[in-house]
Amino acid sequence: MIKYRRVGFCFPALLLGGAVASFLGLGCSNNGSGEPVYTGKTGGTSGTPATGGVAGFDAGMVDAAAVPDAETIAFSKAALIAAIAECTALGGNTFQSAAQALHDKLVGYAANLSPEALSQAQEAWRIANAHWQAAELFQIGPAASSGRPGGQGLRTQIYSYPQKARCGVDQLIATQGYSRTDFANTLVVSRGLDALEYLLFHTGTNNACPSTADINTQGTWAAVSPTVLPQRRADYAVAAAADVLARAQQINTAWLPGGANFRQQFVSAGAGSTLFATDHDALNAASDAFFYLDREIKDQKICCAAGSLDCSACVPYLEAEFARSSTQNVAQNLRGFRQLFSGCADGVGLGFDDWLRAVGQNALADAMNDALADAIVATDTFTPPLEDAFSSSKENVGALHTKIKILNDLLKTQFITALNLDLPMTVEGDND
Amino acid sequence: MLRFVGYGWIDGLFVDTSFRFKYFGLAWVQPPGEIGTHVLFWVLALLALCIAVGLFFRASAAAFAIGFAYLQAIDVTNYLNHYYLALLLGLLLAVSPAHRAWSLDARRNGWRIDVVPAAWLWLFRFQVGVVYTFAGLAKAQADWLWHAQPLNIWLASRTGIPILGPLFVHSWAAPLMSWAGFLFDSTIVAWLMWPRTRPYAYAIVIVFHVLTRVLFPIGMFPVIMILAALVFFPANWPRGFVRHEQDARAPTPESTPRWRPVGWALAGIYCAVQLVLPLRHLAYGGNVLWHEQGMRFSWRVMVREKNGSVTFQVRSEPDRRQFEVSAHDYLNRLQERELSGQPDLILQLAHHIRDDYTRRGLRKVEVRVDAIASLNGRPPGRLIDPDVDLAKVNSSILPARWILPAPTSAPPRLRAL
Repeated sequence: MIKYRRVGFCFPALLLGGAVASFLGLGCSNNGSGEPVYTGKTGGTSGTPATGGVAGFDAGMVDAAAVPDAETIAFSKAALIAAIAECTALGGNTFQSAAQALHDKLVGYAANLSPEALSQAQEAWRIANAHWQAAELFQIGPAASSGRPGGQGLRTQIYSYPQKARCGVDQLIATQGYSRTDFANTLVVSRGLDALEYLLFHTGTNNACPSTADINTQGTWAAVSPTVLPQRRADYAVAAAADVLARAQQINTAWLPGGANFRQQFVSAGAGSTLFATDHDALNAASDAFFYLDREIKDQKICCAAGSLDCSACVPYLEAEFARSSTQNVAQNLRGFRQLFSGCADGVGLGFDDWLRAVGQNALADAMNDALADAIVATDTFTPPLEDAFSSSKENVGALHTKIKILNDLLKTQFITALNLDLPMTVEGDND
Repeated sequence: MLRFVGYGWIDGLFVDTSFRFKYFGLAWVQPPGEIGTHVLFWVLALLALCIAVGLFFRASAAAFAIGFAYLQAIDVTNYLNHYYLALLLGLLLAVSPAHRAWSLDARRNGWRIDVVPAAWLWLFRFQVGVVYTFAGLAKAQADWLWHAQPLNIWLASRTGIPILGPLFVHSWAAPLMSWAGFLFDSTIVAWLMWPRTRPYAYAIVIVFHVLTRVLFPIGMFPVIMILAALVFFPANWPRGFVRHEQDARAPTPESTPRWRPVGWALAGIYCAVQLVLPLRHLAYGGNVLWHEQGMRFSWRVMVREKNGSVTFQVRSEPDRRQFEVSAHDYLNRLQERELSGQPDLILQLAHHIRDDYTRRGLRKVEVRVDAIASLNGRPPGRLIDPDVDLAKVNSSILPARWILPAPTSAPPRLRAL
């Protein structure tokens, strides 16, 4: 049986709507009195202070009313699948709204290249990016890579990390390739949220291409005067934001009957679904999303392990060096992890931890929630920013890496064993 | 072979990786490249067809056995018990006169001989019996019999399958099936040998293997065993289906030439090897499911659920540079999964990492490993001594002191939903 308790009033919840805000998992920094608000499940040991969130805005809070009355819900795999579907849809809709807002701000900025308009556009990017970073942990169905059930690889169309190609962006600026009708078919690294970060936060007049690149050898870049460059970047950003918005709509549509109707496939697992023969198969596919923690977060975003004396190899993995939001991105990723693992509403609601408890693995559920809470706190309080820490504070990075690894080790060993889940992309082939 | 082609597994399992794990003593085996691998599969499929219809039988069987052995030797992580069985059966077919009747070779050559020395039949019976018996012995341990693990884990996740699934929610299901599996494997050979119980035993063989096929992703193993168990019937049983009664009498093996002494010697050596290999884990002590020394070629089928997390720490001693290296920097997902619970593979990759970093210009490279694993649902335990520099540990079949003892706690019992 899952139990919840209501939490305090929160302005962002009112602003964004409880369900939408709940997806963010960003948490109120306080309850109005300066005290942290805990939204963990009662009876557990793992309440996580809902502190932190994204610098610059205080978005997201749980409206417990948006969560089903826990006292009436007993765990079932079908209920967990439905909860995951609901949470994914909330996240998708929230991001789409944020992408729309970003696009609108960019249209305004492109029409009026004022510092204020740029600042507003940058803030809109931060909000959209924060939503997306949580959604990164929900690479289920259409957003997932094409090798997974229902996967269409749509996530990469919005955010291509760790692939980045600043030079490709600069080339399109120089050639105004962003205005071509086939812009949507250009490389994903040239039109996603990461390209937008570069367009909005890099204000220098230099480009990222080598001196041997065509735009430098042929003078194409030099022909773009410093006064024209901001306008081109703004126009490019509008085109990229429109593409991101279209992709967000594409993902959401793919869950609906008008699209691939993945939601129906997912929630009818074991009862008519042609993608998932059993409910366990559907949860197995959903659990793949957790392994973002292993590669993208632990090995790439944090990268530098405890004891490492040289983190220079990690610099290419820096996620958002222009917006300097790499640390916040990790924090949002971990909150996305919590939504999936502990419950959509900032750790409240049905999650995989409830499945663990249902099979009698309470200690493991607690251990993972504790490790997750530690990792979130460590990320929220991490200083200096990762953009600086790789060179100046390797010990701090190593300590954060260790926190992440504790959770990751539990995930890769006891968690998948206890629930008999497969590691991603290892289902093919025979056994024994 | 056709399953690999049809499911598109060839690239994933045999091509898409830069590093391959080698069997002890077979490090010299090199992969044939992408095109070569695909060609090899098609050739093996063709050879298998030739074996089935008895065309150039011995040459086909020998070529199949060699080709299949080569395929398996490319990467240890592709080892499966039933692949090993297919290889052994291929070897036995290659030396046996199984094509004397009902084969294209017989028709082609106008053979009228349709009997073989009975020893051949007994050799095949021995081989199939070894599989069942050692699979049964492997289950004679506490995790399987007293804690019903890993069946409890597996069945708890299969409550959604039609008809049988709802039964698995009961607490008795996993223990019942554990004991049934143990009794089946360890006694079925005797029941198949006894003429009075043979038909019923074979019916149970079919039911058992169909169940395992429904419940577990074990590929062709059930089909192979259902067909292979037919060797326990009298040699003439197929004739009853297609010939008149007078032709259905049993061949008289005694009337055919007997094996020469060298044949008996080779058969004796083969049988001895088949008996010793599965028992070699006794020389290592400890829990073979944990340290895995003596695990392969021992018919320990479906007796462990093991998952691990492995990270390597590389240090260059002179300048004390240190790096953390993830296994997936070198491996594909399937290899990484296999590596995570198998210490000898971890050692192999540690050596490869040592060599790789040495090539990059580091000197006196040390490689240690942070390896933890969960066996049959237990809390994760440390698999390998993190203080041991694996770069200095040689690959060996001797007991590995760098592998830490298995956790002694009992595995958990999971509630099925």
